[in-house]
Amino acid sequence: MSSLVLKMAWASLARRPTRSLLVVLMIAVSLWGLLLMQGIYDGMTEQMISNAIRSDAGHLSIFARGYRLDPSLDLLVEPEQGPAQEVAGGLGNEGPGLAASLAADPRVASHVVRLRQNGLVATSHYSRHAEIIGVELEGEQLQGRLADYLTTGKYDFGPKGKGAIIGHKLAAKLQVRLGGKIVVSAQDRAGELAGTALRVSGIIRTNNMGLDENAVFIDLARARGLLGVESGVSQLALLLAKGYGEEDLAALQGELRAGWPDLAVSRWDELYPALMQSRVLMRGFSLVVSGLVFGVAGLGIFGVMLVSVLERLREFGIMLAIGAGLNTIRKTILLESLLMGLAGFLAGALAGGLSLLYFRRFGLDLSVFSEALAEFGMDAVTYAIIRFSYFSEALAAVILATLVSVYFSLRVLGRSRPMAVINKG
Amino acid sequence: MAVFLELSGINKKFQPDKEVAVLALSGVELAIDQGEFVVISGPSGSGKTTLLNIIGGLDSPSSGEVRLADLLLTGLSERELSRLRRDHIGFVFQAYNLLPVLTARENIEYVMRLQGVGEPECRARSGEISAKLGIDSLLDKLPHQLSGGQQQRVAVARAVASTPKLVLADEPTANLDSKAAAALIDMMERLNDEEGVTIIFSSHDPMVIAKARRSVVLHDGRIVTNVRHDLS
Amino acid sequence: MLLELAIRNIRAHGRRSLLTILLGAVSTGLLVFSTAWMDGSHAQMIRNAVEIYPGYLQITGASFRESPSYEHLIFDVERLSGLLAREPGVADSSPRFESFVLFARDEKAVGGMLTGLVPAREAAVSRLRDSLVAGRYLEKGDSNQLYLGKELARRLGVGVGDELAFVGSGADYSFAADRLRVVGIFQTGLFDFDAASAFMAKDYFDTIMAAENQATHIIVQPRDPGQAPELARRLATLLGPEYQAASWRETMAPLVKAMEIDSLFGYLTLAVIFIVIFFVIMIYTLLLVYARIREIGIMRALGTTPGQVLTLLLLESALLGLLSVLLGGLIGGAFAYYYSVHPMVFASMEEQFRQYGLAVSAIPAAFAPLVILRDMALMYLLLLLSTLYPIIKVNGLPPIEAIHHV
Repeated sequence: MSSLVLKMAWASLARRPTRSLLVVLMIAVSLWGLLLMQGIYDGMTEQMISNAIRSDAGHLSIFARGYRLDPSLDLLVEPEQGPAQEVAGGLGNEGPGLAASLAADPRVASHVVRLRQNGLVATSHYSRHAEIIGVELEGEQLQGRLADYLTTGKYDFGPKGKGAIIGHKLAAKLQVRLGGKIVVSAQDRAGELAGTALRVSGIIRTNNMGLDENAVFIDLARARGLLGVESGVSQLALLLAKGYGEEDLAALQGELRAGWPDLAVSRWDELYPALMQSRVLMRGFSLVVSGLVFGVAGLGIFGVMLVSVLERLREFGIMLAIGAGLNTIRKTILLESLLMGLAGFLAGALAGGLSLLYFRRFGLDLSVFSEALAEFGMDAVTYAIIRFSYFSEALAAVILATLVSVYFSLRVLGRSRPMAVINKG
Repeated sequence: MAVFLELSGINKKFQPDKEVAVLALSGVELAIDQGEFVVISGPSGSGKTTLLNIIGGLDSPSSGEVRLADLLLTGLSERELSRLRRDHIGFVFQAYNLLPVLTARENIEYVMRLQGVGEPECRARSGEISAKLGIDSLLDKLPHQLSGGQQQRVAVARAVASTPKLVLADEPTANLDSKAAAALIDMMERLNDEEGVTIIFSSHDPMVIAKARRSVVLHDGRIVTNVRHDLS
Repeated sequence: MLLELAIRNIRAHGRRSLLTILLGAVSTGLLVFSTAWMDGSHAQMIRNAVEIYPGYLQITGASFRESPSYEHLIFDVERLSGLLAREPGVADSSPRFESFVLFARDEKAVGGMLTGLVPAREAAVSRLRDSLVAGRYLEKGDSNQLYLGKELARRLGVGVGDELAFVGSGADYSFAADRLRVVGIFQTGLFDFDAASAFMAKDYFDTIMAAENQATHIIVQPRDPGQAPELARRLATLLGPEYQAASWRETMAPLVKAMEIDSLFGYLTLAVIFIVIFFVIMIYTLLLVYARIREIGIMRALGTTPGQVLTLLLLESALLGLLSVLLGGLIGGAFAYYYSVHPMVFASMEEQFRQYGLAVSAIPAAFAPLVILRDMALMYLLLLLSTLYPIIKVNGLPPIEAIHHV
C-alpha cells in the first residue's frame, strides 16, 4: 500500500513539473543562502573570538584581584603560590603552586605568563603610548600560535633578547620598520622611570585591536629586568585541552577561584564581553532570518499544495468511491509535499554544504576591505564554519514548514467533501 | 457560388509516444460555400474537434492545405492567425467560454473592441444582436449569474457580433438540456438566414444534427457522409 | 480595454492578489526600513565618531598625515586662521597641537596625549566641551590647568583639583616638563580616547612646548558638514601645496569603509529573505495563470494576439506590484520616519559599540524620501521580474493546448 501511495505522490508531482520544480528550487536556493550566511557569519564571529583567545585571553585568564581596574606592578600573580588552606596558626599557602597544578591538570592544554606595563615607545621622531608585554615566545607559540600572526620579521627576540615584536598599527604610527630602533620607557616597580633600546624583530597583526595598536612584546626576562620585577606576572592565560567544553571551563574556573581566592579568574567572555554579545546577537539574528525564510517558504508550499488538492478533488472523490480511505489521500498529499521538501532540502544542503566546505578550505577573501574589517577586529579572509546543527535544524525547519502547510491544505480538503464534487460531475 | 472554405488532403497525426501514432484526420477533402449551415457529426474521437480547430487556425494539419476566402492558412504566423480569427472567424465552445470578469455585453463586444471598433458602434451592434437572440435583459450580468443556455446564447452573440465570415461552434449544445439545445440551434439557424454568416458546428446529438442543412459525418478521421438536405 | 480587464482580473482573484500584494509590500517595507535603519545608524556612528573629536575637516602640514613628525607641522597658524576666517564655507576653525607625553602622579606614570587648544574655538569644532563630567572646561587665560579624560584620571588616581606632572618633548625636540592641575574631567564614551587624552590652553602650552604659532592640525567646521569633501578640495587649492586639507571621508576612511561592509552584509542577508519571497511570488503567479489558462486560450481563439495577452498579464502584475510597493513604501517609510524622530535606544549594546570605538546608544533611522523611492523602484523591478517567467511560459502555449489544458 505504502509503495502505491509513494507512486501516486510521485506521479502527481511529475504531472506538474514546473510547479514542483519551482518549490524544490525555492527551498534549495533559500537554504543555500541561509547555510552560507550562517557558516560565514559564524566563521567571522568565531574568528574574532579565536583571535582574542589566542592572542590574549586564553580560555581563562588569571590576574591579581584589582589588577584589571588598576593595572600596576604591585598587583601580580605568583605562579608558584600554592592554594589557600588552613594551616597551623591561620591561613597559608601549602601544596603545589598554581603553575604546577595547572601543568598537572589534564583539562589544561597549556598556559602562558605575561608581565605587562603601560609605557611609552619612541623612535627618534615619534612617541606613542604602548603596552609593554613580557612573554615567553615558545609558550605563546604553543598556546596561541602567535607566530602565525607575524606579518613580517622573525618570531625571535634575538640572542641577547634585544628584539621586540610590535603591533602593526603601532608600527605604522611610529613609522618604524623591521630592524628599526625603538626606545621603550615605563615606570618600574620602584616607581622610577626605566627605559631600554630595542630593535623591531617582528611586526604582528592579530586583529585584536588593543594589541595591534599598543603591544610591544619583549622577552619576559628582559621585561623583568627593565621593570624590576623578580617574580610574579601580570597575567596567566590558559587554554583548555581538546575534548573539554563549557562546563569543564566553568568547573575549572570555580576550582581556581576556590583555591586562590586572592586572584581574579576570568573567562574569555568576561574579558571580551562584546565578543560574546556578538555571538549571541548573531545567533538571534540567524534565528530571525531563518524563521522568516522558512515561514515564507511554507507559504509557497501551502499555495502549491492547496491548488494541487483543489484541482484533484474529483480524483479524490473517485478514490473514495472505489473504497480508498481518506487516510490514503491524506498520506498521498503529505508524502507529496514531504518529497518536495526533502528534495529541496537535499539540493540546498548539498549546494550549501559544498560552498561552505570551499569557504572553510580556502576562505572568503575580503582583503579589498581588510582595513575596514580590522575596524571590527576581523580578519581579511574569513573561514567558514560548518556545524552539523545547521543541517539538522534546517531539516527540522523544512519538515515543519511542510507539515504546517499541508495541515492547512488538508483542512480545505476536509471542508470541500470530495464525494459531493464527484456527484456534481 | 464561389467556394468559400476549401480543405484538401488534410491529415493530422498525433504522436504522443515514439511507438504510438494516432491518425486523427486522414485525407479530408471538404468544400463549403458561403452562407452554408453545416453540422459535423460522428462518434466521440472521430476527429470533429480537430477538424474545427484546423479550420479555425487554432491547430495546423500535418499535411494538406486549408483555404479560407482564397487565403492559405497553412504557414501563417501565430500573430497573423490571431488577426484572421479576430476579423473573420467567430468561435463558440462547449462550455465555460465566456470571459468570467466581463459582463454579457462586454463579452459580446470583446472581439469588436479588439478590432478597434468605437464604443457607440459596439453598443449598437450588441444591442441589435442581443435583441435578435432574446438576451437583451441579461446584458449587464456576469457569466456566473447566467444559466448554461443563457451563457451559450451570449457566446453565440459574441461569435457573430463582429460579423465574421465564418462561425465555428464545437459541441455548443453538449452541456445543455434538449430544450435549451434546440432553442440554441434554432437561433443559430436564424442568424445564418438573417446575417448570411457561414456556420459550421459539431454535434453528436441526432436531434440537433437533423436541423442542419448540410451534414458531414466523420468516422475514424475520415469523411463518410457529406450530404445537403434542402429544407425549403 | 486591457487595463480595465487587468483591474477586473485582479479583483476577481481577490485573495490571491491580496497575498501577492502583502508579500510584495512586506518585502518593500523590509527593504525600505532596513535601508533607513542601516543608513541612519551608520550616519549616526560616523557623525558621533567625527564630531566627538576628529572633526569634519583637518588641515595639516603637507606630509603630516603620512609621517606625523614635528618637521611637518603647521608653522603659521595665525595666517591660516585668517585665511580660513575669510572663506565663506568655513563656519569655525581651531588649531591643535598634539604631543605624546608621560603623565606622572606619585608612583604612577601613564603614557598619553597632551594637546594644546584654544578653548573657545575648540568648542565650536568638537564636542570636547560638552563632554565635561566634573569640574570645568578650559578657559581663555588658563595656564597649567588640565582638562583630563575620565579613564586617564582614574588610571592616574587624580580628581579635580589634584596635581600631576608630565614629561615630553617640545616642538623643538627640547625636553619639556611641568606640573599641571586638573580643572575638569571629560568623558566622551570613546574608551581609548578617554583613557589617553588631556587638554590645556594653547597659549600656555606653547610656552612650555616651544610651539608658538604652530599646530599639528587645524580643525575646520564647515557651514554645511555634508559639503566637507568639496570644502576640503577648495581649501587645498586655496592653501597651496604646503598644506593638506582632508575631510572626514579621508581621515575616517576605515570607519566609512567598515560601515559600507556592514551595509553590504546587511543587504546580502536581506537578499536571502527576498529570494524566497520572489520564489513564492513566482509560484503564486504560476498557479494563478495556470488556473486561468482556459480563459487565456479562449481569448486567443477569439483573436487576441499573443502580444495582447502578454500585455494584459504584465499589466496585472504591474498593477499588483505597484500596489505592493506603494503599500510597502508607506509602511517602511512610516517606520523610518517614526524612528528618525524617536531614535531607538540600545542601552545594553553600548559595550559592543564601544568595541568599534563608537559612543552611541540611541540610533535614529534615516528618513530620506529619495532613498525610499529608489528602494521602491528597485523592489518594483524585482517584483515584475519574478512574475515574468510564469507569464512568458503560459503565453508560449498554443491556444489549443491552453483551451484543453487540464
